[in-house]
Amino acid sequence: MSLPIIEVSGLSVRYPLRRRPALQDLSFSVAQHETLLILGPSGCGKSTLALTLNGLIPHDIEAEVQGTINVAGVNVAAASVETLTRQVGVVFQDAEAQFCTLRVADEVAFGLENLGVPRSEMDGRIQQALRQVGLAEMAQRSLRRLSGGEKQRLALAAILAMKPAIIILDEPTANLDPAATAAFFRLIAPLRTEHTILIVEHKLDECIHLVDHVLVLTPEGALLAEGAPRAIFQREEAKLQEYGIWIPQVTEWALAMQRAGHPVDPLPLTLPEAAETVQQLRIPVQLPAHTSHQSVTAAVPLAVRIDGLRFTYPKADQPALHDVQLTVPEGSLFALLGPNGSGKSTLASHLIAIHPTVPGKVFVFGQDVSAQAGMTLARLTELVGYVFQNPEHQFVADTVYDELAYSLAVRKEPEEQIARRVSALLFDFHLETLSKANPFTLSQGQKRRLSVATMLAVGQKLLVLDEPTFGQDRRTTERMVARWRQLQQQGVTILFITHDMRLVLAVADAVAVLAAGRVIFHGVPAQLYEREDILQAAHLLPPPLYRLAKMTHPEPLTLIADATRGM
Amino acid sequence: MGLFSYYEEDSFLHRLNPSIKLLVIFLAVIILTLAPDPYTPGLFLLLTLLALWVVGRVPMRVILRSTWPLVLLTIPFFIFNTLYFDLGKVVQPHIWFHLGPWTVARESAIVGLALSLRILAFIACSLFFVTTTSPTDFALSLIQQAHVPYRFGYAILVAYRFIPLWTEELATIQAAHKVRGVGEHSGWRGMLQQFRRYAIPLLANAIRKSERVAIAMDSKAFGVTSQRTYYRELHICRRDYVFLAITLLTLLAIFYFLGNY
Amino acid sequence: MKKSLRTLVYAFLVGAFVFIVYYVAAVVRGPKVEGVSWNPIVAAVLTIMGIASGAAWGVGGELRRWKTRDAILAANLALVFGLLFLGWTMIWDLAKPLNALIPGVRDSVYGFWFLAGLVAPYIIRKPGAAVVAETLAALAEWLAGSQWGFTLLISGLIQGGMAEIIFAAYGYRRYKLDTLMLAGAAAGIGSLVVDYFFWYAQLKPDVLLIMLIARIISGAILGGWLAKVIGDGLVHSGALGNFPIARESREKI
Repeated sequence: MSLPIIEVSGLSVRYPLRRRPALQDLSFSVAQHETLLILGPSGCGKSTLALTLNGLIPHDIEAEVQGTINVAGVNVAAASVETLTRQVGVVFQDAEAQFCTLRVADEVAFGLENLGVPRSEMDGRIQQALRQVGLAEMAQRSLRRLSGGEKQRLALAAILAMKPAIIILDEPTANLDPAATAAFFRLIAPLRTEHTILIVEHKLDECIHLVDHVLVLTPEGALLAEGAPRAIFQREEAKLQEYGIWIPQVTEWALAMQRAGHPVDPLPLTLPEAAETVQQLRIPVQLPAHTSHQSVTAAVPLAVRIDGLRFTYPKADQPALHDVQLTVPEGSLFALLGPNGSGKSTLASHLIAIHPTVPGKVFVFGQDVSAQAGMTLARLTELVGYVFQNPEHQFVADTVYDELAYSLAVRKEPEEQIARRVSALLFDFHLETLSKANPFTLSQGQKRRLSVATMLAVGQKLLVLDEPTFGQDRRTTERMVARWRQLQQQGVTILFITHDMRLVLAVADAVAVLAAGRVIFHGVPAQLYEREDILQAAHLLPPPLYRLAKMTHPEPLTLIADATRGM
Repeated sequence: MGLFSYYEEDSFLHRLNPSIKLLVIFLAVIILTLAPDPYTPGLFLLLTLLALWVVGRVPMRVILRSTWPLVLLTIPFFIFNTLYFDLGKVVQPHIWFHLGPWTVARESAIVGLALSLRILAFIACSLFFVTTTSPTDFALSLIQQAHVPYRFGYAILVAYRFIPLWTEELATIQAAHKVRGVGEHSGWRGMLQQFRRYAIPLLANAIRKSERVAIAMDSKAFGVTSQRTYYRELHICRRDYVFLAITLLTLLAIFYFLGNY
Repeated sequence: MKKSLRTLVYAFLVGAFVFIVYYVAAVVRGPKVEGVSWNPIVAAVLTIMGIASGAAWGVGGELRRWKTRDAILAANLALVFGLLFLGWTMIWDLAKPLNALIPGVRDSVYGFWFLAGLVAPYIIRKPGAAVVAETLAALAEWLAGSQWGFTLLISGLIQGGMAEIIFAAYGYRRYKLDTLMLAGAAAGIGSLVVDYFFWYAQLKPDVLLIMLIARIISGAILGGWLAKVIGDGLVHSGALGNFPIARESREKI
């Protein structure tokens, strides 16, 4: 092992006004050209750690820092931000919020300008960095015309041009679709020979093959465990589960096999490794998937029927939706998939008549939702609840109680009936103690629960959710799915927009895939995974476990119904 | 968002230094303000739009599309200034007619017309600047020629980049409130409440995004070295001086020959 | 020199300078300078413009000391408000063309335009915040296409400068309702002064007086009071955890 390039000992960080420190007594070291994965539940201080290593904390962001950090031989507390930012580059999660120019080449140049690199050297360094991430052809392109995946590659190029010894990737693929996520991590592999890389990531299936070493943080920001990935997953499975940390799906499967008494050694982390395990064990992979085999076109009552919907945004050249046909059976959990910008949200928003809709195209429980057909807003909001991606957008009142009472009060329902309904919702969604709190001050999970609760206040039977698992850790996702099941039993139909293939595999009864405004697939998930062409067009990848089953059993698969596992 | 937007083209006007354009507009606005007659702003307006069309190669439909709503808005302004003109200053007003408490005279109508044309001339200046100046050049020129602290130059670029994000977000908030059953509000209280409901989530997100961008920028060593270099350098060259001279001489000539009608 | 004192001294010096120049031109040299005669309204207008631009000049040097975060935040707040301002102009103009007939009605909603220059200092609490935010909001509104054109930039600077004087007078320490309302009222005076210069020099003095009172009240309420409501709402939203304003509540999270 070569010399450590990062040495952290006894590090504690506390922000002003916070009762609890963000990081507590953390000690670890990273060898040069090693790739370190940092795991921890949301809010455990992973981002704080990134900003402490590049000196922004405490030089730029106020915080109390104890302990010592040495990065590339310099003491962080004593070094200037200039020295540190030359050594440590960070790619952040939010692609929109890490650029400050309008063109690709300018963005890469920005870091070089800050370091005072002479102009004559810039073009060469910019071109080289863009080549490394496959954007060389786009140097003059406007940032607005880049896809999410291209933006994150650009963010990486901007860091590479500055030639830091250490690169920190702070959830770089959180907003990317599965295909773009895989493409991003393909760029990281060759960088490992030149750079020390720290990865903070939830989606381990796509990046675990790059990782040499794992660091696990507790919710309090202390060190739970560190070691080689295999050892960590073997040893700490229970803790990881408790903290809501995802582990690679094939590893989870292998651990389940171990518990069932099969000798699995070594523990597989990646698909090829898992395939070898399957060969050794000689037992077929059982997919813990949930699926109903009824066809989506069967004659069941429909919650949603969309019949030849065409829609073009004002001022747009291209229609956002082309003759969309879609049916959602009553009581189903229905997933709407597709790449960014394929029209998923546009389609879903037609269910609540956000855009003017031509009559005779969109029906919810058999009723035409267009205003011309006589549908009033009040009536429509009784039929459909719509949960937006950012719950804050939906808040209209100053307390949680008023928030839940709002739709009922608008309908002028009697006071006591409102009180009864609101306390039932508070109870159902575990918000009882918060009824007087300001909705904006709630935690992210509480905000989401509240926004779902408000959407059920007047007894809506169709719930539409836009990216419900975005930014959620495993535990909150599992709880949310359990709640969906409850709602489903109460007769609520749930339609959700997602990229999350594990979620689809685990819960969806039926799916539709959109690409460029057209429905290119409409059926059950098991059929979808068989359709390579559709998956490719929609930037999707089947969940790893499904791919494993496919690799080891070439013939079509039968999925067994098991709703509780496999998340 | 907004009526005006940059029109990408490579013309004489597009190549001018943005700071020089700002200086010319500033001087033109002062001269136009000192000119009391309707001819100076009227002719200046025509010449500016003509230059934008012919020299700047901005299509007429773009010019018309961006200006007609503003032209309509000058009508109430014309009425207001005509009705409330202080006729006491005029020795012998040519009174046209009386309308309730108001007196309308030739002099007041001319002043109203002059002021309305002044508004339109100012609008033409803005249109000229926005359609022919790329936002990046504008920010860089503010830093390199106008000596605006570079943090603010980049702050302007960042803000510009975020415009589509805010308009999208505003639309989402509107939709989200609609689903909650929030109707349109009328009256003072209703409007204020509505404004607050929109403004708080919008601003809260603006604050969070600002912090994130700032952290990302500082992580890339923004502002840590005393000597920042620039990938793109803008200069003031001969064409800028020529433009400055031509515009001001033309304007002063119009004012001199036509201003004392 | 103390930051607040510097702002005030610059404001006073530039204001006094402008007043003296006008006085000399109009009274002392009297008829010798063609076209310039003593007019108390003009004297007040020019002096106030001098005071406000002096204040803006005085805080200019402080801006180099701002952190990136504060600069970006000021620009984004200004932009969001600039867009809201533009919407406000459109709605008001389109819905009430007859408004032109009654002076003071339009002015009574004017305070809304000062929000950027009041919310930003309330949050950022740095010398120069009022001037920067109000000027950048005006820039955004100008570039988006406003009927008031380039004069908006000057309005923004003067309104921001007037508000800045109030924040400076409180030593950049006190940011309470009274500070904000006074700053809003001061911005109201500044706004009319610029409008007089560009547009309203021909109007009757009594009409101007009604407009002035309307703008002062509107600046205090729709500007100052609303800025406090919005600022406090933002504190509750938790978005301001890392800004000085949140420290006031002293509540540990």
